[in-house]
Amino acid sequence: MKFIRWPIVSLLLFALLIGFFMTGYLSNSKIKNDFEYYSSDALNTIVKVGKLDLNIYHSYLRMENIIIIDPGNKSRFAFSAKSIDLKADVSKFFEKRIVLREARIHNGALILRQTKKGRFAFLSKRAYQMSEYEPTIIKINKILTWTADHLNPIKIFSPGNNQILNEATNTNYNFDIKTLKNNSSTQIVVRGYELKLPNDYPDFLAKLISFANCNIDLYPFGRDKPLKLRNVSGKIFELSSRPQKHPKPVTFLANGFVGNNPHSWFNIAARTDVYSGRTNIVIDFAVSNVFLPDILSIANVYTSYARMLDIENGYFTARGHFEIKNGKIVPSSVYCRLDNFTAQAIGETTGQKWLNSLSISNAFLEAVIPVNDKKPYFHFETAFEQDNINTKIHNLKIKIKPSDLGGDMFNDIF
Amino acid sequence: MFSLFKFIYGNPSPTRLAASFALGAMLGVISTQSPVWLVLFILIIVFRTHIISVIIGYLSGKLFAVMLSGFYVPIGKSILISNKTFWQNLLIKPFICYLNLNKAEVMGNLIVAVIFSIILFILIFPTLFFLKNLVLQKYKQRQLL
Repeated sequence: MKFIRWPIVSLLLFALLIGFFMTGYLSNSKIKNDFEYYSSDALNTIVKVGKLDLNIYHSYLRMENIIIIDPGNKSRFAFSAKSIDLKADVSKFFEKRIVLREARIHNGALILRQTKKGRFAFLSKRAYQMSEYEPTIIKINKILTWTADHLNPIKIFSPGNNQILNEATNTNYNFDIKTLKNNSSTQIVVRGYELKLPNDYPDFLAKLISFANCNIDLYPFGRDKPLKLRNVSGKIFELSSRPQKHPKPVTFLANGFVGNNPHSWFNIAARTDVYSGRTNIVIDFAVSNVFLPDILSIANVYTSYARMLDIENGYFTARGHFEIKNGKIVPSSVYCRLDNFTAQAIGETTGQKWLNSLSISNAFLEAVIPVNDKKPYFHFETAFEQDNINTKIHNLKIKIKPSDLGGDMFNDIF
Repeated sequence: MFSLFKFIYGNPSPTRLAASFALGAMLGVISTQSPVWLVLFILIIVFRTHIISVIIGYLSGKLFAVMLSGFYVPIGKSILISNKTFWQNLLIKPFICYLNLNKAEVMGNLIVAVIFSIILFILIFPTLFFLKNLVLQKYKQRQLL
């Protein structure tokens, strides 16, 4: 024992003990400033925290009035929240993992932008370009985009989108980081050989994320007007960065209002299990009185059907169950209803100009649409055949121009 | 000469001096950017090493590091691929996973530094032991005179 400098050991232990127990009693202003400094540096943007309480002994962190400015557009925030409470599992930190036992977000506000491919990205395109040498920002965006992608009911329901299964099992998105100077992709070069370590667990795992009274602005691709989801509350269980390696499924529950209309609401419960090559997805949803032109701007990216009509008015109500079991869609049905449906057909999208003459106003349409694994997954035609459609159309107008139809149109009639 | 030797030598045993010098050299060879460096530095502070020897060893290690740096990657790679399963199981353990030893350069750096310090210890320890006896003999002779 004489080989050890006991005063040094005592000093080190004392410093550790002070750090461990006294952090909660010391002024958190320095920690707050450091947090703001390092997170701003890592995200390459301005991060502001109103108040921060850290208690290492209880593995607890509370932040109030958090604002993250979008690095691509300094005039708007990418994320804000009144309070965030995090309870971490410190023991996993020594295994180079981040495990959150619980995360609670209150009064949060998030902006998601729909990309051309239908994904919902957390940051603006310019922010990616600015983050060329900042992998942290990519990591955070990966987590948020992964969440948005895997719990995106529109994407899962989108007819004709056969990439859904691949994307459900593949979360390793490749980000091409463009440099500002010559717009060429950069690569992280590791000198020499690197032994690949078995990574049989996710590096990031949040056992429970609960959010209450949050606002989400979904910007459809190419649109400046967002779809506003208000008073969104819900929970996410077992959200991890690598769901293929985590045996428990991701479970998602959310409800809220679409826009500021209290009669327009949504309720979603979803479960995604992609552990060890499985692909099991279950979604139960209900939406009521959603203003149709708002959601169509988002759905346009996934389906060409929506582009066939110029919809001026309509309220959409639907409820249904959608399930993918072992990679195959389980037959089910979706109940849909359209109220006050007013639209004008656009013939140019299908190459049939005569459709331009078709317009519908104040229609009521009700249907039970079968869903199965045959394309296009949603079978409107079967719903017609089985008389599952109840339609009341008022003011159906069809204006026919014989010149548009061609000379042979009336030959069979007359 | 004798007083200078006494100043550098102090009172510690040849074992402690040689070990301190070897550890200092090891610290010098290991890259300061490697997490292993920090671990070794804490160990040197915690254990009762001879600081002057550590500093001299560190400087000499820094000099040798320039010559040895070419061996890091090949040695590290050969060590890591010699028994992949063993290293994969070991290097994911808590704390060890932070040392980045799965990188050939870091592993090679550590191995080279350990070998270098062992060689130094083997060379210095007998020399110091011999010098100590020689100095003690001369000291005794001077006392007798």
